[in-house]
Amino acid sequence: MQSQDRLTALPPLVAPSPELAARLQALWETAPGLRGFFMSVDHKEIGIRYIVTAFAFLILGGCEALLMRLQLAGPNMRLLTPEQYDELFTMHGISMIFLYAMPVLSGFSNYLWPLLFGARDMAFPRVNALSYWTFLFAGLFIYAAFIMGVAPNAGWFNYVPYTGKAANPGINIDFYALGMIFLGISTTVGSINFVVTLMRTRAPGMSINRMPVMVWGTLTASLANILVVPSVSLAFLMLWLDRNFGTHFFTVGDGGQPVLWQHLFWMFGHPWVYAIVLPAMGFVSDGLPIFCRRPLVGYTLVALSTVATMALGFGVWVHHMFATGISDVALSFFSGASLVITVPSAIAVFCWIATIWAGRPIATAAFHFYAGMIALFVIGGVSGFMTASVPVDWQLTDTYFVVAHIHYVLIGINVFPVIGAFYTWFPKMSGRMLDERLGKWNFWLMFIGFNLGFFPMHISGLLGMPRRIYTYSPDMGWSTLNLITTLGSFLFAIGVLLFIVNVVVSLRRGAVAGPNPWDAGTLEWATSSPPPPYNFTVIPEVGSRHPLWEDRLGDAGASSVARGFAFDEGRETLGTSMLDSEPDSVLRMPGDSWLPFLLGLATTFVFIGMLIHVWWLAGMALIACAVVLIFWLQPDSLPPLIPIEEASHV
Amino acid sequence: MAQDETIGSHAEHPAPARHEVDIGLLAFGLMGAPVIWGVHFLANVTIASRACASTEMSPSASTHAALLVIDAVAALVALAALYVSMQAWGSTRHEGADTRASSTTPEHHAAEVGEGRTRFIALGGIMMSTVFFIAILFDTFAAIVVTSCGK
Repeated sequence: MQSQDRLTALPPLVAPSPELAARLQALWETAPGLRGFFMSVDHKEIGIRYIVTAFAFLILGGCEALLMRLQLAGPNMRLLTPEQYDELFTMHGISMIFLYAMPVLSGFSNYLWPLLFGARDMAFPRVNALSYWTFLFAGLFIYAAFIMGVAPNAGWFNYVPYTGKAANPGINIDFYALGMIFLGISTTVGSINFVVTLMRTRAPGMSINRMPVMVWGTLTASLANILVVPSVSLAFLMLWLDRNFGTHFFTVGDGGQPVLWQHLFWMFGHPWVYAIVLPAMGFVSDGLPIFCRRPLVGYTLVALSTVATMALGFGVWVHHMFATGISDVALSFFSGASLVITVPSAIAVFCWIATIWAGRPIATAAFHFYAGMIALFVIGGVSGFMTASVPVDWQLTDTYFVVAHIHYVLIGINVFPVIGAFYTWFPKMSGRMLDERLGKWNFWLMFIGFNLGFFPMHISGLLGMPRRIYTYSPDMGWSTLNLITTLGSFLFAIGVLLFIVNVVVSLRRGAVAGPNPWDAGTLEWATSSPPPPYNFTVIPEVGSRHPLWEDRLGDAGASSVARGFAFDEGRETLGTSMLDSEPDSVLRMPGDSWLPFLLGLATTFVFIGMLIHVWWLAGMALIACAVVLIFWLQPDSLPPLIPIEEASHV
Repeated sequence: MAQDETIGSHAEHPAPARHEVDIGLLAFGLMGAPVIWGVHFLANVTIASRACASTEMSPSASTHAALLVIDAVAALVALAALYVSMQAWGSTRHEGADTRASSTTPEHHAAEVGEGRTRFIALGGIMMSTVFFIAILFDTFAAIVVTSCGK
C-alpha cells in the first residue's frame, strides 16, 4: 500500500456497470494456474488457504488427542509408550493453540475484513501473503520434527528445566523453539496488517462505532499479539541459546532462573488465549443478529468489553503460576485481576442472551453453534473464575480440572463459533449453502460429544487425576470417568467428521447461495457469492451499523451500495481516516508477486540452518532474504503519491 | 465539503458532535482508567515482590502504606476518567438523536444507544472507567486483606 497525499477533491460517485466490472476484473484477477497459486495476494484466496491449513492442523491435533484418549480409556493401557504420549500431548497442544486456533481466525478475518469494510483488499496485500507462507512453513517445520520422530515432548508451555539440555538433550525442543520464533514472524506481520487495514481502508462513513464486532475482536487480538509475541520469541531464543551455546538464562547454577521462562511464556500465553477467543466471540456477536433478525443489543458495551477483556488480560499471567512460590501479596493482585476479568465477559454474555430474547431466533445450524457457544462459555468461564482464586487453584493446579477448563474455553469459545461462522459465511466464500440438516446433526453430535467428553474431566480432576500422565492404576477410581471421556471425545470427533462431509458434499451439491442468503445487514452481503476479485464494483458508503437493514430499521437511505467511487484505472482503493472514516487519499495496491513466497521460503532455510548448525546455509538464506527485501522495497515505477490534479482520472 | 457530511456524499457525518468535546478529554475518559490500572498494577506487584523477597513474614507497614496510596491515586484517576466520560456523554445527547428518534422499535432504539462516534467513545469511557475502577478496588481489597508474604 502506498499512501498518497490528502485529497481535497474526490471523483464523482458512479453506479456499477458491466463495463466497469470488466475493467476491474482485468485489474484485480490473480494469474491462473500454479503461478497464480504462488503469487496471489488476494485476501480471499489467502483467507481460504489460512482456514484450510488451520483446519488440517486441527485434524492432526484431533487425531493425536484421540490416540491419547484410547490410551487413557482404561487403566494400565499399553497402546502408547510414555515417550510417545509425551510427544502426542505436546504436539496436540502446539497444533491446537498455535497452528489452528489463531490461524483459523486470521483466515476468517483475512477473508472477511475487506468485504466488511467495503475495500478492495487488505492494506498490505504482499505482507498478507507473507504472513500465510511463513505460517505454513513454520507449521511444516514443527511437524517435520514429528515425522522424524523427534517431536517436542515437554508440553506446549515447554517448562524449563524439563526443556533444558540436561533433561532433554535431543533436537526435539530446538524444533519447537525455532519453530515458534518463525511462527512469531507470521503472527506479527499479520497483526500489523490487520491494524493498518482497520485504520486506513474502511468504507467512507464507517466510523469506529459502526464497525462489525468481529472487527473489534481481531483488532484487539492483533494489538495484543504485537505487544506479546516478542516476549515468547525472546523466551524461545534464550532457551535455544541456553541449549546450544551454553548461556544460562534459565539454569540455576549460573544465576539463571527457570521461573523466568514461566513469566516470559505466560506474559505472552495468557493474552494469546484471549486473542484466540475474542475474534471468535465477534463471530457470535455478528452472527446472532443475522439469525435473531435484529441488531445486537448493547453494541457499544460488547465492542468495548472486548477491549476491556484484552486490557485486563495483560494482568493475569501469574494465575498460571500460583504454585511457583511467588509471595501471597503479589499473587493476590493477579487473583484480583483474574476475578475482575469475568465482568466484561459477562457483559458480552448478557448482551447475546438479550439479543436472542428480544429477537425472533431462527434455529439454523449456525444459530445452534452460537447458542451452544454461549452455554459452553459460561461453564468454562465459571471454572476459570474458580481457578482465579489462589487457594482453589493450589488444589486444582496440574489436575484434569484445568484440562476440562481449557477445553471448555478453547473448544467452546473458538471451535464452536468457528463452525458457526462456517455455516454463516461458507455461502459467501463458495456460493453454495451448507446442508442444514447435516448441520444440526453436526452440532448435536459435537455438543453432546463435547460435554460427555470434557465435563467428566472436572470430576477426574477433583478426584486428583494429574494432567499429562500416560496411564493410571485401576485402584485410583478414575477408570469409568476416563472411559466416558474417551467415548465422548470420539462422538465429538464424529461430529467434526460430519462437518467435513457437509463441506465436501455442499461444495459440489449445495444449494446456490446468491449474494445475501441470510438477508443479513452488513456490507459483505452486498456483493456476489463468491465475491469477484475486486470485491465491490464501487466502493460503498456507510451511514449506519447495518447498511443493508436500513429500510426496516428506519435509517432510510443513509448508506449507499448502489453508487460509489470506481477507482478503475489501477489497483487502487480508498484511504480513510482512523476515527470517522473520512476519505483522505487513494491507496495504490500491489499486484501478484513471487516475493512473499520467496521470502517465506528463504526464511525457512534460515531456521533449518540454525536448527542443524549449518551456518553457511543460514547465512546464505539470510542473504537471500535481504535480496528479496531489496526487490520488495524497490520504489514502484508508478508515482507512489498521486497529486490531486492527477487523481482526476478516477 | 459540507461541514457535517462525509466527503462526496449525502450522508450525515458519523460524529456531528466531534467539535464539542475535546478529543484529548475523550481519549482520557476512554483510556485513563486502563492505563492507570496497568501502572498501579505493575507498581503494586513490584513493590510487594521486592518487599517479600527478603522475608517470609509480612511486608513492612510502610510497604503496605505505599500499596494503599498507589491504589488510592489510581482509583482517583479512574474516577476522574469516569467523570470526564459522563460529562462528554451528557453534553452530546443530541448526537445521533435523529437516528434514535426515527427508530421503529424500542429494540432498535436500544441497539443504537451510543450511535454517533463521540457518544460511542464517551459511553465506552464510562464502561472502561467503571470496569477498571472495580479492578483497582479489587487490588485495594487484596492489599488490605492479604498481609502475609506466605512463601
